[in-house]
Formats: sequence, structure tokens, C-alpha cells
Amino acid sequence: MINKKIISEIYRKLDGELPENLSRELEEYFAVHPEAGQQFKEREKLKILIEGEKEQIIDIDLKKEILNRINMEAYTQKEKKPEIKVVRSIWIRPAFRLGFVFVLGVFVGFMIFAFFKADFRGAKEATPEMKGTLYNSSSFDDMKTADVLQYDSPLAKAICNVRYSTKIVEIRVELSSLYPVRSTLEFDFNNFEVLNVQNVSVNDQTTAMAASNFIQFNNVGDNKFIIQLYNKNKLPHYIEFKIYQNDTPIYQNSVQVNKE
Amino acid sequence: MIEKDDNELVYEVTKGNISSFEVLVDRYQKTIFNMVFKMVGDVETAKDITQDVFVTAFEKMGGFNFKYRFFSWVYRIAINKTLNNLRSKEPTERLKGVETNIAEDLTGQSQERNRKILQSGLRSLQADYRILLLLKYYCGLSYNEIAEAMNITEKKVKSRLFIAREQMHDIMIGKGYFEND
Repeated sequence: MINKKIISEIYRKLDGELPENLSRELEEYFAVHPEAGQQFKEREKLKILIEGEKEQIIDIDLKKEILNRINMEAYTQKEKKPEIKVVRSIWIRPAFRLGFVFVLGVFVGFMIFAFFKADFRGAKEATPEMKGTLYNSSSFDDMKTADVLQYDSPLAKAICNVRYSTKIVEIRVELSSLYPVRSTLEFDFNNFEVLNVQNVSVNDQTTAMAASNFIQFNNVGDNKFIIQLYNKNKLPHYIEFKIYQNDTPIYQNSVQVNKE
Repeated sequence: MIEKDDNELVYEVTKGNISSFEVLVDRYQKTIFNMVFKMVGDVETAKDITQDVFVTAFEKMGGFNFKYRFFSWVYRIAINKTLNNLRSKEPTERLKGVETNIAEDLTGQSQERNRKILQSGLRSLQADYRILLLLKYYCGLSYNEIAEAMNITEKKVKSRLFIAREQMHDIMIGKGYFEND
């Protein structure tokens, strides 16, 4: 029985890995133990036989076939990733579809709500009682001009600009006097109702006072007022504009609104 | 003209140069085909496996690790594909066919007879050991190169190769190869 170590050394010698001195020692061992030498010869013969297979080469060229297959697979790969597939896969997801329907529902609901709400409000505003009562900064320009009264003297200067619409009369008064003067706008309380007396530019020595049938200004210096009256009917009416100094009238004139 | 290094050609392939891949195919197709043929014993199967090996190599070349050598990498692909092919076949059927061939061939000339005995012996050997013998003696790879190709340690290559050679020796004794010595 040959030692496994000797077999291992035989293979090392056959592979050319055994150093020269050990190789010589192994040959000496073979001389003493011919059965070991026989084992070496057998394995050497087998090695030569297997290595001889190198010469038995089948000459073959598969390059064309290989390249054809590579081109075809590259083409197949390109076809595998259409971008539309991604879009489709999102759309078929229930969560996406529910979300889309929810958002669409909210949007449609909002549109319906906004449409009907606007319509109801419009219906309320269109009632005849309310017509002409809305007022904003551009209303004065849209009103009909009744008259513009002007007074200019060394004692006082005054401008009284009167305009009217269906329901509103607006009077813009500018007063200027070095000494105290009193000015009044007088009207019939059956025809007008005071809505608003606004101090546009008024100093602290000047006062404005409203009653049911007149508005009075105690003026010193340069002041501006806006007065709004509610026009109770569509008949022609007169508004008296007067200026007094020491209770003596120095100017008096009237303006007609609701002109025919 | 100076021949380009394998890894240099691999780099060019990854940059889209197909002609560099053709050079690699030219360089290794014969060795790989013949090694596979000696493993499977059938020309058509060996052709299919060789084509598969290079197609797979081309597809995976983008992930090639340049710290390895191309030939050991492509050998590894070939080894895996060959072993998979052999495992998918019925072993008894394969061995039966081999024995029939020997009986017919024993009457032939001495050299041809030895070759047939060797081939039959190789096919009787377990596939993992057979491939080791082919890589060592037929392909002429070093222990280190075999270790790289089979993705095992060099120590394991030596121990497995020892077993493979001993089993082959025993098979050849059984087939009467050493009887006249």
C-alpha cells in the first residue's frame, strides 16, 4: 500500500512543483520501492494521455451564430420596455382611480356650488326695492348732475355739487371762509332721508350737524363734505343751499333733483 | 500589430465596440467549445452551450469586475453552464451510452483505443472532478487560475484535484488501461 504522502509527492513532481533535491530523493525512493515507481509511471502515463487530448481539437467557428443571437436579444430587450406600460400600470391601480374620481368629484361639486350660489345672490339683488341703492366710489361719476352751485366773495367761498340717481342724492360741499360762517342744506323730510354726512377734509374748528329736514355746517377755514340722502320718491324736489354770516344770509340758492 | 489585452478589449466592449467582442470570441471559442465538448460528449450540445456562454458573457460584461481576468471569468460561465446541462440529464442514460462505445472500440488501434478509454473514463468521473482535470491538463491552467475560474480557494483546488486524479487513476485501472505496463 503506497503512502498518501508519496502519491501527493508524485503529483507535485508531475506538476513540476517539487524542488530538485526532493525530486532526487523521490527517485531514490522509487529505486528502493519499485511499487512506488510503478505508481509514478502509471500517473505519468495518465497525465500524458490527458494532455494528449489538447491535440484532439475540433476546429469550429461559432462567431456568426453568437453575434446573431446577441443582436436579436438586444432587439428583444428594447421592445420590453415601452413607456406606455408605466402609465397603464398606474391607471389600473384602484387607489389611483379612486383618487382621480375623488378629486374630479370635489372639483365638479365646487363648480356646481359656485354656480348656484352666484345665481341666488344675483336673484336677491335684482329685486326692485334694492335697485339703485348700491353705492361705491364710482357711483358719483355715474349719477346725473342736478347742478353745481358756486359762491365766491371776500367773506366766503363755496361749491355745492349735487348729483342724483334713482334712490340716492349725493352732495359734495366745499366751504372756505376766513371767519366763521354757517351753511345749510334744507329739504323736505317727506322726500329725503339723511343717509350719511361724511367729513372728507375738515379741521377741528368746523362741525357738521344733521336733522330730519336740514344739514348744517359751522365752518372756519377750508373744509370738504360729502352728504348722501335717500330719495324717497321719483318726483322733482328742491334742495336749498344757504350761507349765513352772523345769522344774516349772504348766499341762497336751490337745486332741483329728479328733473323731468 | 500589438494584440490587445483581454481586459482592454472587455473595456472597449462595455463602451459599445462590438468588434472587440469578436476578437474575444475568436480568442476563446475553440478552447471553450472543446472543453465543453469533452465534458458533454456531444458536438451540438457543446455548440449550444458555447454560444450561450458568449451571449451571457456579452450581457453581463457591463458588470465585469476588472480585478479578475477575462478568461477565468468566461471559463466560470462555461463551467456553470456545462454543469447545469449535465445535471439536467439522466446520469444512468449517459453512462450506459459510454459503456457501449467502449465495447465497440476495444478492438481498435492502440492509440485510438487509449483515447476512447480516456474519454469513457472522464465521463465516468463526477462532473465537478472531470472539469478540474480538463482545466488542469487540457486547458493548462495553474492552480491559481483554476481557483479563480471555479470561485474556490487554491487549497481547495489542490485537494479536489488530488481526489479527481486518484479517482481517474482507479477508473483507468478498472478499464484495464495499465494492464500491459
